[in-house]
Amino acid sequence: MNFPPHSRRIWLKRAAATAAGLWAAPQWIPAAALGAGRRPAPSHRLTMGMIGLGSMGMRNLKGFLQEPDCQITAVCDVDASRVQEAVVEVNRTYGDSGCARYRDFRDVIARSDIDLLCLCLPDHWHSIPAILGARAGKDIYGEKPLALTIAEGRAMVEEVRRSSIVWQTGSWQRSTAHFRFACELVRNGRIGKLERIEVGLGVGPTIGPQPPMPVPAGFDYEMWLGPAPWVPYTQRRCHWDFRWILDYSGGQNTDCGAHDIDIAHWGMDVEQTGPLTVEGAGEFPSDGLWDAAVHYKYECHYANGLVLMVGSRNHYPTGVRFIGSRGWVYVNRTLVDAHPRFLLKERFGPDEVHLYSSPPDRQGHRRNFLDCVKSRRPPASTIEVAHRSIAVAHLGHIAMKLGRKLRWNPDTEQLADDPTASRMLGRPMRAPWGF
Amino acid sequence: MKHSLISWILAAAALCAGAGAAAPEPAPWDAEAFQQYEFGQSRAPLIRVEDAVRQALNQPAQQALVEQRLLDILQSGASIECKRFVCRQLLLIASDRSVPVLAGFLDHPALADPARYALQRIASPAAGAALRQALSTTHGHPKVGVIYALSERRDRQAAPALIGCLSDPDDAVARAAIAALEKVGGQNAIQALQQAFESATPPRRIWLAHALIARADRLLARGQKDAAAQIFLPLFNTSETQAIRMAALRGLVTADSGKYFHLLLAILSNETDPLLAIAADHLRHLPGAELTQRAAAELPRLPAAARVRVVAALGDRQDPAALPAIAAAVRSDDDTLSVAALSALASLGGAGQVPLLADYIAADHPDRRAAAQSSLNMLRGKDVDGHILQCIEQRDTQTQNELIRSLGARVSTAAVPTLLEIARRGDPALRSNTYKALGATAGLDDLPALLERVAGAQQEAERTAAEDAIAAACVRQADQEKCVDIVLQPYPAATASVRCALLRILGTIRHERGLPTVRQSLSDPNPEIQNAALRVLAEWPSPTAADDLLRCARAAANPTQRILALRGFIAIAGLPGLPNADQLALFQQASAESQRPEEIKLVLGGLAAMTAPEAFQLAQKHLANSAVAAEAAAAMIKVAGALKGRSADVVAPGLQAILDSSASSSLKAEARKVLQTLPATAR
Repeated sequence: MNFPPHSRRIWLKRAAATAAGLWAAPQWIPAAALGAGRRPAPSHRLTMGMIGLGSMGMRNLKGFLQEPDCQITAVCDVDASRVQEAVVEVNRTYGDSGCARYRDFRDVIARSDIDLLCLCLPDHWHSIPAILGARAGKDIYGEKPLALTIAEGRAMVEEVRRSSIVWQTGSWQRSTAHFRFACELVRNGRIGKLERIEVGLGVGPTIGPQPPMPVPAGFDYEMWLGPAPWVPYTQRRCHWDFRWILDYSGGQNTDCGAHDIDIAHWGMDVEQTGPLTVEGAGEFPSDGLWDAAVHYKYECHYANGLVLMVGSRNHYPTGVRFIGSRGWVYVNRTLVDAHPRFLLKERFGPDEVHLYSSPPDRQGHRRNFLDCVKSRRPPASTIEVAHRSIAVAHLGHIAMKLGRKLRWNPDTEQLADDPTASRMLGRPMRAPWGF
Repeated sequence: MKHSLISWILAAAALCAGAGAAAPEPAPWDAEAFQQYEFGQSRAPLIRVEDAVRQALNQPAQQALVEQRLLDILQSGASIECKRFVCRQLLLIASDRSVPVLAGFLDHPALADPARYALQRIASPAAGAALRQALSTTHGHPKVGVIYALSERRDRQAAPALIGCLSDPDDAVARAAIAALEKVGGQNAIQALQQAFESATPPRRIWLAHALIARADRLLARGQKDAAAQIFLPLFNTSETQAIRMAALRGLVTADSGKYFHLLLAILSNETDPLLAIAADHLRHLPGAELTQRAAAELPRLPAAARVRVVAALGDRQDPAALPAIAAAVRSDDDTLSVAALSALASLGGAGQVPLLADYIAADHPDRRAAAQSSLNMLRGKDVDGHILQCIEQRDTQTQNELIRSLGARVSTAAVPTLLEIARRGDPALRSNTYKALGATAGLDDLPALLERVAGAQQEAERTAAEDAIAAACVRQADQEKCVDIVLQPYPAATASVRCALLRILGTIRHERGLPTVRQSLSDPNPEIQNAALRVLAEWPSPTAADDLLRCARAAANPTQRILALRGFIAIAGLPGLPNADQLALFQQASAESQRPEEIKLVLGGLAAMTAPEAFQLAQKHLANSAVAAEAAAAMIKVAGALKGRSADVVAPGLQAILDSSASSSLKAEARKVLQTLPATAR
């Protein structure tokens, strides 16, 4: 459905112009946009600020550049070389020089002429920009995993809800037809009564001790660390490899878990809740810079009797297997399989469960975000759902790290009778960062 | 190191004696290496300490020993890196014992943050008192950290001191204090925030507004709706940022949607209001039948942009009270509004809306047509299919076609008898959609009737449509054996063309129960049947068809059939999941039978996916054949790579042969790359 022009920025401008007896021109008019083919006029495009320009940031940047009703007007990163690369890409695509560059995300959020943010930062930098962006009324596409801790995730959820903004988590598997189909088979009882779910994730990498190094020119390391504990710079700490270090992320458990536990929850119909107990064991590196779990396996029990098993791929094949009383469904990024096989030809009637359908794959997930910004409808991967999914991985990590069973109350998001584990639900931030 | 260990054991013994209890000895660690730890060194000493901390958890006596030892290190000449690590361990186990030591570091240039991390996690009043005390002794970042710590602890006793921080000249301190006062709560804290908001200027005014919204939101969550609204309303009316108006509006209508409906209406009535889309979104979520009625009643008076959004919101509310207003909007001259209303019927409508949707499913306007079709496909309720069937009789052919298509999309099993009846009539204008719908809806019991259509079809197009419908219906059935039995019932008495159709259906079902008939038909005197059977067999998904295919590949009179059979055989050899030995044997046979480069290339493609030295050797046999040398080399390189250094004695000479004979520089480079991964002795 087409909605009329919607951008708050646009309406603000018009309201202001009308009040002044004028019709204001857009703040910027890129040459390529004037009379350009099928692209909407600049005043009808959603303006976006890209914050975080690593591998996912650049992938999202290139994706949003393809959307004619989206205009990237600002890019931001603590690494000057990445900013330069992004600016070149944006300006080359639009055929102008209108893309502004920033090192501090707060300067992007402060721009009133930006409607949307795309946040592609390391996990330890997920919560603060998201909360500040939501408070500024920006609609946000935020990369997974949602947050570094359960406490930060809940704070993000609350702020997004309070601010009435649209939030799309980058869990794009939800916009993939075969994942949806697998979950619909389960939700519509085609494999009988669902009993057990197995999620297979990646095995974590290891590396030896790394020497302290001088911070490269153009890289604002203090800002990169931000709320994380201060430590000397070394190359393999930052950029892609941050995900193997627990100060900044959770290893494969959260990196892949954000995707596949999310799919498990979708099929289990427990998207708005969480497990009651979590118990497991993990093998953590015995030395070296990276300290996230290498091999791991944990078991989660839910109030509806379901058992979710999460493990590295030495325990379960990569992907999600739903096991029911009359068959199973297995799904990963390349295939969906089922027993009995005829299930793969199943179709669902209007009175059955039809899960949220969005345009396909990664690009469709981005498109879905833009569509929902216009319609104000919930997108494919809402923040509450993403929070509930990644909370499972965080609980799994705590259980493995402490080596004991956790009793979780998904309503209050508190652990019962375990003050030590409770201390791990959040992490203090390095001053002056906080919210 | 020995000295440190002895000291530690003596200290532990003294602590145990003091406690009057025998504590198990904590896991030992290398104190010297630990205390001299610098970043870049092995973390092994740290990990041993971490293990000792973990082992001590839930064992109070042992935990006390470990805590004391960590505190001793914190006060020793240990490296800063070591002390940072100690603080992070104390984060898990620190008790009151740690408070004075940690508090002493709260203004330390390198340890203020880690010490505060541990201190703020200690639940006791002593930790709170130490943090409050630190408010007057710290400045800058350390003070900001202390404020956030008090905030996280919800330390209401800190409120007076935090109120004092609101006017701190340091923005970071004031901002932290604003956030903290909201979290610690209490009447004084909220009044202080409200008073500060009245006189503040940006950016502090904006921070204060967000704090007040968060506080009002907490009141809402506790059911104190009036108190919350008293905070939200002035923020909505006076705030200069749209983000704060957005948040305040949400708070107000959540508190009392009836009382503040007029705010929504005022926004919706002004098409330039920046919150128009947000206001319509609230209509989607807010509860209450009265809200539906009020919104529906206002619909005709709203500006066009608002009407479209309100119609969409009413659809999402799924309250039938909105149906008259939505039906009126469907008939609007405004295409955008009509499309929105037609889309809304998907979630809002029921059987009663079938005629209305039927009016539009064949409309000229593509968006109206698509919206009506989509909604009809998804319309819920018991009698929807029945109403669609009734409509079919009363409508023109174009609409009939769309209604039939919808029955298929709805997987309407109740529609099968009517659909079969339409099929029997043989109306060419409806044929294609009718059979497609039957493919999606027919069950086992309906197959005989569909088979009759195959046999009784007057035209080839109809037979093909019926055949496709049976195939589509069969693959959806749980009992595939039964499907085969039903499909084969008419086979003995069928004409040649019908037999061909039945064979093709068996080829779609691909169940072993159908294989004997397919096999038998290979020797049917009728060449059409022979050909149909061979085509089915050539795509058979299991090795059970391999022998028949090989026989045909060797003996079939027709060269096309020989090629078809050989290709089917090669495809079977490449099926995933076959044991390596079986696969290899099949490829060896296929290789021996293949004369033309086209089939040899298929064999080589299959071999390339294997991980066995025999596959490498088989591929190598074709290296000298110039017509397929490149494909043979590529297969060899792929297999060699997959072997990861195994069978180097077989692989190395073969790769060397590629280097010696290939004309392709890229293949040579690839071969060299793999060769270098092999043990030097093999190269």
